[in-house]
Amino acid sequence: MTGHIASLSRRAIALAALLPTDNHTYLARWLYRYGTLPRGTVLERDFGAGDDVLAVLGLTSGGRARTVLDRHYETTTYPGWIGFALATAPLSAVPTCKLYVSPRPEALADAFPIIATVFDAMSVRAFKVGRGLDGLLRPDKIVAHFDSAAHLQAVAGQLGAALPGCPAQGVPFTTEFGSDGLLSWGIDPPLGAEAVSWRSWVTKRLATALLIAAPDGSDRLGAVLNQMARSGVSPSNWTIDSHGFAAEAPG
Amino acid sequence: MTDALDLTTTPFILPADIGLLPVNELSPRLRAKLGPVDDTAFVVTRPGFRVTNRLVPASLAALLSEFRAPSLLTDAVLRFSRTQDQNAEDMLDLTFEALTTCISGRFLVAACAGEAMDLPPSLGPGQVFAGFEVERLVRSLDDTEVYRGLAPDGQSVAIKLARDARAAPVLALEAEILLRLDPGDSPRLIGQGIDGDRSWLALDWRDGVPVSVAAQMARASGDRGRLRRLVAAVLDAYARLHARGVLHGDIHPGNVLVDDAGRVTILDFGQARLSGRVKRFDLSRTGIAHFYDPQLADAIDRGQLTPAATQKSEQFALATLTYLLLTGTYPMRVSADKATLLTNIANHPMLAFATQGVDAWPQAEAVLRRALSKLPQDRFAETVDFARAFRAARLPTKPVVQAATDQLIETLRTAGALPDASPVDMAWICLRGAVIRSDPDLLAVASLWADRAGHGLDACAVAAQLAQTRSDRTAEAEAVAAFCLAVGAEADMNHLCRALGQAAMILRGAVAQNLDTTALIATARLGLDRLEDNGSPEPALQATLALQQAGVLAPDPTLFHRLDALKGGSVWLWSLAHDLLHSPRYRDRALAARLPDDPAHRGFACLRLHQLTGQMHWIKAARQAGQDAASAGKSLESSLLALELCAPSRFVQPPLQRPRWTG
Repeated sequence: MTGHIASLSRRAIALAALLPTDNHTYLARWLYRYGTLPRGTVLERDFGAGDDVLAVLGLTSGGRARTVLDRHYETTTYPGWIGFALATAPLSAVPTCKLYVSPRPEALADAFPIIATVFDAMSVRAFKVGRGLDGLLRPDKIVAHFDSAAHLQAVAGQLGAALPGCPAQGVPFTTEFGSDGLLSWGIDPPLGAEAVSWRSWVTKRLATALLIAAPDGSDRLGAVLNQMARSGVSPSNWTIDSHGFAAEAPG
Repeated sequence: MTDALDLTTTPFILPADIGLLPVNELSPRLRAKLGPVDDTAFVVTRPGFRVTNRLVPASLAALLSEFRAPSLLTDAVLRFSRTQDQNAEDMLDLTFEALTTCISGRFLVAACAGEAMDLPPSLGPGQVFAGFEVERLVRSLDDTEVYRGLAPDGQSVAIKLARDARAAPVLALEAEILLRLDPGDSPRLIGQGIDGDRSWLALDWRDGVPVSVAAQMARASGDRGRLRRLVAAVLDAYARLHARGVLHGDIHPGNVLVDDAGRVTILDFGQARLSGRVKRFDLSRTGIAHFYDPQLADAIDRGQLTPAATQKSEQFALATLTYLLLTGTYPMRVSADKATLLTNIANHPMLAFATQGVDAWPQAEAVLRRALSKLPQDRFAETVDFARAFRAARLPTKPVVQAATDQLIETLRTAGALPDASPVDMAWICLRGAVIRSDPDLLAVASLWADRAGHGLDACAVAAQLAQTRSDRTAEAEAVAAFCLAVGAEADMNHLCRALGQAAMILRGAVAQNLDTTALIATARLGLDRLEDNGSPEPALQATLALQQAGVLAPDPTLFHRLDALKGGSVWLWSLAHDLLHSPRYRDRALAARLPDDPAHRGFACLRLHQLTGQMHWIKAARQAGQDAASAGKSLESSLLALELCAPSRFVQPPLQRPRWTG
């Protein structure tokens, strides 16, 4: 395994294997949250409370990102997120894949306006940004939705070129572009599955695999990775094969 | 100028958009911002108006409610006195001054006045006004509106439009000032006129964000070089303004705009003055109270004639702005009570950055301390000198991280225990390491240890703080509930005292995230009652101070007496007393308190004294103590001290039950 995200993912599973619990929900939640940055008084003061953090992203009046996005995007807020949708995007189409953009919080003031500009220029149909400080400390803080993998790859290529050396946080259990963890992608499970997003689906699978694997100190990590591979998820790059979601297909 | 009101014949009204909010119904975060105030008080607000929010007692709030419909002062007082079963004449005597203050503060307005109404925009998008096409409303205040529009040649403009004749002199003055200035640091005047009784100005449009937003972005980037460039550009712009004989008269972040290229534009010259025309007194001085200079604050506080603005008074306001931009907070303690705020501006020295939890910047702080001198003659001679001195202030060197500290971090990552450390000790040191190094992996290791630590008092306290740091609301709620149970069951008064300190820490974190703290507050209050009945004075006082600082307790007038009666006392107690009560004698007692013999614990105390005073020699002393501790053999305490030395301004007193940590 190479790359930042592969290392992060492996480390998350190794630590989760040491947790003194057999609670599946807890394990899955713990894995899902792995990679979240610590919140502290300095960040609270420097980023601000509540929606004050919008200023850091350039989303307040006169801000660079706001100026760009006001042209073509409609904004909505919902628990934990601020969503942006192209005003011209069809309402009914279900996206097929998603791109994670994961700058560290200290890079956001510079990076987010660039990300917004690329999304706008390449007509990304919808994306969302974590709301409040908590939303910006999570690894999957910026998520864009696409109708085609080709479009996603083109946007990722543009972002990679536009954000050279951007400090990255990295989203565990997603498929990495490059090797610094800034950009990665995933595919959400079909509607009606036990989880609505790729990361919640895969962390539930990982929790199951951890509970099945022998907790006796032998190669528990290896057993978990093997179990994931058997269920169609590549433990080296976190892609899912064509049969991976088969069990999730609505009856 | 408006005509004087006859208070006996003018009906007054409390405008419909005035908010009268009970303090105890504010969100925990806003409640904490107010500090220790009477829980029964009310906050009066009016968005969109040039009105400062005020704190009023419940009785005055009830009297103000009598003005929801237009009423003479005498009628309202008569009705109110009946509800209170009081003599109407006595009540009028008692309340008259407070009511006139509300009138001068513009919470109570003449029922016939324009400001009694809502503020609908008077122009709409697409409408043509004075030859300019209106695009959108940018800002609406009680006396003026600002629109973005297009000139006939396609150029973007800002149209500043008076709502009525009141603002005409202000706009005329602004136009006169702008014509004197080069259109670099301020917008260019494109046109002016009068439409009916409404004066207007058209200015070239400047893109950008308020300087506070630009500074917030720089702080969030952890980029002090960028902050320094930003502040230097602001100071240079004001130095040029002053060199042209113009005093701005209304310095605050909303009046300074910064574009993407870092170009600064000073806005709003409605309160400006020409240096040559300034007299000794100026009764029309306004602005935001936080940016008053000591002479203005003192005059207002004493009800005296307000001195006219000078370059030196603007230097003080600029230094306040600079401090705010660099740190995100003010150089004095801010109070919701205006009289206290004015007293703090007039009398209290600038707070060191470290006192506010901001990394020290000694050279910049020295420059600011001079510009914020209480006496004008002690400030810089000219604004340009202030700007030059700030530019010359070198950035502080970052603390050198010892190789041993890096090695410690790698050891912690293995999730193996340090010698002589319990799981809860390990959870705490990993948590501190994660916060200090902004390290998500160490945060995960901390949660691993917290899960191994069980459900004792300390374990629950650390679990709650860990969950806050992980932004995990579910885990936080569970840990806080378990902590409350453990506090309720705790019989040992020393443990209970420590637990109340932990409760204060958890509360501060919960308040910052706007969480429901009801159960925790109730538990802390009950615990404090038990401690005061059964414990010794110093621990009970320390717990009281901590909980009061966390906003749990209302101000206790006996606290000064209880503290003054105490003999001895630790660095921790007196530092906390000073933080809360701001009395220099408590600072002196903290500095005079005996430092612990144990080197690691002495190092912690030195870090606390650095936070108290901002003095750098305490960091040096803490480093020396750290070396002494390491020489005496590796311990959990020496390891933790090594970590805390990486970020002295963010140091947190170890809260756990280890004999050598509690001394």
